[in-house]
Amino acid sequence: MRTSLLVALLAVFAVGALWLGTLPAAQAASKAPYVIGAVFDVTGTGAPLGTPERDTVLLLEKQINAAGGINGHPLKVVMADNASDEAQSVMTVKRLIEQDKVLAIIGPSQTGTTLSAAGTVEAAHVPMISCAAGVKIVDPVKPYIFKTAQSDVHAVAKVLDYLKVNKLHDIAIITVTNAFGESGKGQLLAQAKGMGINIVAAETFGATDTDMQPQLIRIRGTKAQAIVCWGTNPGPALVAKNARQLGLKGLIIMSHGIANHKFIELAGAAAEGVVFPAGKLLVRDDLANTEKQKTVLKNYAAAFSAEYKHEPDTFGGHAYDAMMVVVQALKTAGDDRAKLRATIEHLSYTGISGTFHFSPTDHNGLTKDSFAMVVIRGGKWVPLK
Amino acid sequence: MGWISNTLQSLISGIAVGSTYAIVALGFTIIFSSTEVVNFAQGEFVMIGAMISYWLTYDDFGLRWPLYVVVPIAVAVSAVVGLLLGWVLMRPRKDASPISLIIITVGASVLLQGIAGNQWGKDAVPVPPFTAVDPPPLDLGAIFHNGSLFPVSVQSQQLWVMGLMVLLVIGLTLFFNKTMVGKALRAVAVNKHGARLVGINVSRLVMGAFALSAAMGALAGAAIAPISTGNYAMGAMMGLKGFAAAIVGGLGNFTGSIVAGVLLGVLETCGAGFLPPEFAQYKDAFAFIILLLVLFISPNGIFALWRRKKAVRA
Repeated sequence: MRTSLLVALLAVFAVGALWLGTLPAAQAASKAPYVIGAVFDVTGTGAPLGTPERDTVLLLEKQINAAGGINGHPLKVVMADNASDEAQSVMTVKRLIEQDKVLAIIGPSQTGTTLSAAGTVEAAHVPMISCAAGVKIVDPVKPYIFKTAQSDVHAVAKVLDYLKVNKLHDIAIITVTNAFGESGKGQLLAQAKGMGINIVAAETFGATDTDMQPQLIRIRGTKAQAIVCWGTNPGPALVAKNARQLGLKGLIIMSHGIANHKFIELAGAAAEGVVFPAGKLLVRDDLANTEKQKTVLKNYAAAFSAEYKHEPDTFGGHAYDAMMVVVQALKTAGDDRAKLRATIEHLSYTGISGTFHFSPTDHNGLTKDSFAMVVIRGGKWVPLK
Repeated sequence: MGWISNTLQSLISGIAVGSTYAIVALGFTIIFSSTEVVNFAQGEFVMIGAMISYWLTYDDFGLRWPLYVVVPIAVAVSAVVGLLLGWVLMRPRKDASPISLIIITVGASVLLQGIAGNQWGKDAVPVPPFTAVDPPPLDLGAIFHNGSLFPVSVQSQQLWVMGLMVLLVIGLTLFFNKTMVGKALRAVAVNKHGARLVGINVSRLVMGAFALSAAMGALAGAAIAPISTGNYAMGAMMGLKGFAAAIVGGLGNFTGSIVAGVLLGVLETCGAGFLPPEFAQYKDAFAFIILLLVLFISPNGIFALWRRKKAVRA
């Protein structure tokens, strides 16, 4: 009785071992895969950012492997979700590094979730390419951390340039009280002085507030010629709606945080005439044919729409750039994390958000020219000038 | 004179927001009086009303049904969800403590929010206003003076919200005082065992109370979402604000809930408008600061304080 059980068990193990044994043998035909990790804010408050980023990375993985991988190595992406939670972001990154032994990490999606994971990544010497905007991610420079989203420094510079050119010297700012809005507010206050622009009112609103009238009433009482609003949906849409309802007729300028159709849907008629800095993906068809980015933008948009049946957005673009930066670096550096980092640090690459020139002092590699000023007219984005 | 017009402006938007808190607070009150259960899923009915209105009117779904069809559907769906919740709560043994039933409502709230997040995504969604045209800016000064003294602009949707609240209050008053079902519900609220003894089917009535408060919540949601936009998680904050209003008004007190709800909305907008800009971001906290103050001073709500004084004097 006992022996027959033993024999049966042995048989099971033997079969299992045989089956397992055949797997590596089958793959040995091609080279060992390059494993990279991707962690995005797929659920929770960052979901509108993390979802297109995940979709983009999955699409690229498929495309790259269909084209024969990287120097013959197939690419394997371990996908993870940090639920937009800063503590969970650390845990997720740890798991990718320790269990999945990834060569590099793409993401996370937001400034908060990126900064919380930064220490872990630095200690483990794993290159991480974030898709978030906050300038704190790369200033001061951390050796292993890069990012592909344009910094708010550049967005603010672009907005202030626009105000100066249009001779709007007195402005009111209204910003959301999360990492994105606070960072924008800091940059606005810091850069405005040097540009000769007065901030006559600085208002704030909570990320889930549904009525901005009290703040806008106060702005109505100032001599502000324009309102600059720094936030992500739905706040800015409510700011635009409430401002128009209160009869504020001045120019409304918003951040790149509204660079999606949702803003136009939410704000409705009040979206008309709103000006904001946007990545060039939004206005790709209007770009001059001489712009280096145009082909990259059009190819990405076509592939994304074909796969997911809807338009890609700027956030997906950040993930595209992050992934392609890693892929470019893997081509020359191979599966050595330190070499990978050194390669990225000297990489020049033209992608969705612009032409990147990474350097030891600049881990973002973009300038304010990566933005174009866009106005909303008839529910469409129209590039200015 | 700018400040008068600014105050009026804040008052109007405060009353509109407060009206929805009042409706949610009434929902709490109706259920609490008949079951002694605080229904923490109350806010989710607001979310259901808003999200279904969005779902059936926007292109994503391929439908563009008119609102006079969509809103009743949203209200009906929510009523069915409320009925189911009431039914679930009536299932445990009759001697289950209110606390365990309250936990069930918390669970229902989390479940409904999860389903909504899956179905409609996590992003904010637009909901169309009941009527597209806004009235011209109202000028109270023009009555006495032919200039624009106190111009106030009102969204037609704000008028809808306030009007609906008034209609609901009238309707509920008639319902509780004039109809047999309403009177039976009041009887259950006063004494459950007594009501059972005179032949009232308590559990069926309680399910009805859930359906009623769910329908009211959904109506509030469909009405406020065109102003505030909707999202899958809006129910949590709505529920908490409505709960604060219900407590401030004295839980189970019909008039108290209405007054406290409107008051909370007004205090929120005026607080954000008149305190220094740095405080505007704490708007959501105002309701709870007031709640704490009321609980310290008069644990049975502000009206209990007034009544106690009257009792002492008598």
